[in-house]
Amino acid sequence: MVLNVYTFSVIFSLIFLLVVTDFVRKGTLSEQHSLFWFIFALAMLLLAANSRLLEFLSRLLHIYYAPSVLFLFGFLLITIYSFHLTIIVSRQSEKLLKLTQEIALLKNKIEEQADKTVKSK
Amino acid sequence: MQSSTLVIIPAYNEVATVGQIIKNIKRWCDADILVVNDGSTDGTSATARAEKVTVIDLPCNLGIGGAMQAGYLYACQHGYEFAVQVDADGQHEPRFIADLMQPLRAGEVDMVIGSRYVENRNYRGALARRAGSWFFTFLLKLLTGQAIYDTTSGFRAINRQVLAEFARRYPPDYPEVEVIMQLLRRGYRIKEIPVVMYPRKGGHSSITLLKSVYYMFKVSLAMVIDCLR
Repeated sequence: MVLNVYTFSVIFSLIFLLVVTDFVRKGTLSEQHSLFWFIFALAMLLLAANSRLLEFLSRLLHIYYAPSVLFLFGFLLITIYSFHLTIIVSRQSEKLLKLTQEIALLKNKIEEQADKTVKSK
Repeated sequence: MQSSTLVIIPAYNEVATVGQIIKNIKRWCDADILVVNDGSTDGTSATARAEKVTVIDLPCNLGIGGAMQAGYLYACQHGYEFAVQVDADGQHEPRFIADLMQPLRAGEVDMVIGSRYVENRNYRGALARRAGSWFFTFLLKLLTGQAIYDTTSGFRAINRQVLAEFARRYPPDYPEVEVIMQLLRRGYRIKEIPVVMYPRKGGHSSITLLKSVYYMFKVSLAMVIDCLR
C-alpha cells in the first residue's frame, strides 16, 4: 500500500470513526452532536476509498485534479457545520441570559421572604 | 398527606388540553399531579395552576427529555414511590393509570408501558409511524433479546429504582426508545399492557419528516453505542 492522499484519508477516517465512537461511549460527546461526525467520517471514507467515484465527481464539476474534490467536500461540510454551531451558540447564550436572570430574581424573592420572617418575629 | 404516586405531565404550549387532562386524572386516581411547563408561551402554566396542581415552570424550553427529567428529580427529592408520565395533549387515557400501576405495586416489574398494539384503527399517520415503531422493536429485540411493541409510547409508570436511574441519566431529546434500552441493559424489568390511545386533541406534534429521519438515526446510534458501554 502506498501512502497517498487517498490512503491517508481512508486511514484518517477510520481512526476518526473510532475516536468519535469512544467519546460518545464515555459520554464526553452527546449522541446528538456525534451524528454529524459519523456522517462526515463515513462520507470521507466512501469518497477516499472509491477513486472512481471521486473521478466521476471531479469530471462532473470540471475539476482537473481529482483529490481536490476531497478538499472541496471537507471544506463545504466544515463550513456548514460551523454555521450550525454558531446557531447553537446563539441559542445557548440566549438561554444562559434567561437562566441568569431567573436565578437573580429567585435569589431576590428568597431574600425578601427571609426579611419578612425576621421582621414579623 | 402526600400520595405514594406522582403523575407527571410534561407540557409545552398545551393550553387547550392541559386543564381537561388534569380533571380526568383526578377523576380516575388520587395520585399527586405535577405539571412541568417546558417554557410555554401560552397560558399552559396558569391553566394548570387553576386546577390546583403543582406546576414547575422551566425558564427555558428544554425539550421532552429535559422536562421529564425535571419531573423525575422532583419526584425523587419528594420521596415518591412511583411516577407516571401522562402527555398533556390528550392522547393518553387516565382511566388506564390504575392498570399501569398494578404490576408495579405488585413488584413484578420496574417499568410498565401503556401500549397501543391493540390500537385505534384510525390513528393518524399510522403507516410511517408503524414502520418506525416496527424498526425500533426489531432493533431492541436484536440488541437485548426482549420484544417491546410500543417503543415510542410516552404513557409509562416507573418505580423508585427507575426514578433514581432517570434522575441520573435521561436522554434530552426523543428519550422513549432509548431509555427502554438503557433499562433493559441494566437488568430492569419492563412490561407492556394494552391501552387505548387517541389522536392528539390539541397543539401540534413536535415531529416533522426531517426530524423523524434524524430521530431514527440518533436513536439507533444511541442504542448501538449503549451496547458498547
